[in-house]
Amino acid sequence: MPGRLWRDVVESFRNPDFWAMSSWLDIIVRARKSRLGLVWLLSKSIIYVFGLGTFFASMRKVGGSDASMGEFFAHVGLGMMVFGTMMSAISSSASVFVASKAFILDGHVRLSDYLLQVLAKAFFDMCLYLPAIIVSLWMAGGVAPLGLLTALPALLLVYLNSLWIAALFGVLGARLPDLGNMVATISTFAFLLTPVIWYPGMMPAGSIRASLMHFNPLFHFVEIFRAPILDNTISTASVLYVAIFTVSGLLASTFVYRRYARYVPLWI
Amino acid sequence: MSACIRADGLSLDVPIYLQRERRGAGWKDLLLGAAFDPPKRRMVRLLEDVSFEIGEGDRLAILGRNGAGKSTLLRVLNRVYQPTSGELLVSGSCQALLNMGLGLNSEGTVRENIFLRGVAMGLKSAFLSRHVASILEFSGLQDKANHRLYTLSSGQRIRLGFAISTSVQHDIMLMDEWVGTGDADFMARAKERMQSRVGGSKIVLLASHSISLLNDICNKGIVLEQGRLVHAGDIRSALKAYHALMSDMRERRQAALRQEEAAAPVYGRVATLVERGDGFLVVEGWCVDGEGAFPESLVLELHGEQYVAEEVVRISRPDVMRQFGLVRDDCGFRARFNLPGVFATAQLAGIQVHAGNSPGRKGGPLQIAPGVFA
Repeated sequence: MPGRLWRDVVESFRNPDFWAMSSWLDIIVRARKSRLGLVWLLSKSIIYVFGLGTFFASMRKVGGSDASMGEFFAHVGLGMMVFGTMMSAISSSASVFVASKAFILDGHVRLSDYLLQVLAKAFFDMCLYLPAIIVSLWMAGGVAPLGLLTALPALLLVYLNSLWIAALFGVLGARLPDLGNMVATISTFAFLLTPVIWYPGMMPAGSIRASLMHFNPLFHFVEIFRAPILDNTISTASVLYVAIFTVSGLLASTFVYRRYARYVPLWI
Repeated sequence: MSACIRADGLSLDVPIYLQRERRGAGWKDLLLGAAFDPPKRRMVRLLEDVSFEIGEGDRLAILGRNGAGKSTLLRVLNRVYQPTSGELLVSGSCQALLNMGLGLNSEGTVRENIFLRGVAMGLKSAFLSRHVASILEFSGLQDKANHRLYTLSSGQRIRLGFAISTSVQHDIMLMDEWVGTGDADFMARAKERMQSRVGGSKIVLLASHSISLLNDICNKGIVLEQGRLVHAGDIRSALKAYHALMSDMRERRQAALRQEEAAAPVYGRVATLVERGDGFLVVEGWCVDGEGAFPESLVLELHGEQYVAEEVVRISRPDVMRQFGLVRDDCGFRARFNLPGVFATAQLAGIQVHAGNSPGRKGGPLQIAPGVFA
């Protein structure tokens, strides 16, 4: 029976057969349908990094920054890695339990398995960005080694937060079918509001746009991951924001999951 | 630890969404309503105060009309739905065979799908890799292991799903009405495996409308009606209660509606076949349809030709009534057929006797008792 979130998650990690294998096969099978399979999977990252990057390259001059093309490509790619992961965790989780209805009603009720499915797919999509990012970092002329080191814990934080977001949105989305639509509507706006294809410095300090950007949690997650790699300083405000966001989110989702997860089979 | 299930006062409320009924519902109203009326959320009670207890070795038949709450009860027992009130104790490992097509990916190969479906059921991939060969063998798909699933027919998929689902032994087995498609050969193998599996599992719960299957397998039965438990007891008394319920329903329904009903499955047995010369054949036995009534017609099939009974006399069979818990005992019959050109019993090999509720709609063949042709 679905119960405590963390007990479920630990159980899921101990028994990864179901969620790992089904996510993997899902991806493989999608690629197998077409002749160029893997190329199509990779194409999205190439379009984003080099296509969007080239198209919006003039942006890099607006804020008075002197980033090279390579640096801008890396900026877009690293931003997309984090943004894409969190956004897909949010948007797929809102409907993940409804989509897995057949499994749940058949008795597979450890709901964390479905959450990890979502994260596993997001992780795979994220890894698809790596080739494009390696190329652009090489074009930019190297990275800050210390930045790569801090990127790992930052990524861990990204996934920890994606997990609780998925748990929270999953349970809420099972009860409120409108949540999925709402998230889908907001996602485009969230992309524009997060400095992926532009630089945070371009927002005039004190403006409404700047405060909207600072309010946006995705911005801070992107920052703590990307800024150290590209040798920018990481702002304490972002670290603080992420810390508070993580702790309060973990508490909220643990509570919601414990209180409402048992109703999910009835709701869907 | 011994396996047992104890349910005490189980009730289950479920939210459903209702659309407001629009008056004068033409298609325009229907479309407008679908677009602009917000669905209303209402709680409905699917199970009410269900109590029973079964122990090791028990095979429980769950009887009831469509929508009576049989599948819902199985889902509560499978820990999918949490009961709104009441106590439930299930001890022993539990396997549900409710959805044969679950977890199959139509673009994956058959071999991949064995893993996919297996791990969805909670099996370990190491266990599955040892059993792939036997699963393929049972489903008869050895030479299709690397074919994609969508190339399989729906019957083959059911075979595959069934083979995977039954590849492991559990203390408690929950089964829904799964007997569906599948050719005769597979059905025979499936039933055989089911019964040995049933023999192996400590507790079996079977929700089905197939009276003969339930009668073969179960020793206890409960009858559900609109979410309430209306009867619990041994299989005979449960079948009797179920038939009483059905005949009660039937009497209340109008005759016109009865014609619309799909033909209920018929079961029965042919005890003697006697050739009376001049191509006349007298067949004796008994048969009864799924609602406990005597089918309206008998048809004999021999070498591809069909012969309708010229005369049917009903015979009282209190023994059959007792065994299947029927309401009436006039389920026996003596029927006379005219088969021109048949002069000896030896010519009757391959004969089949069908019973049905109208001449055009015959049920499955009746069993023919061993020794009839002797």
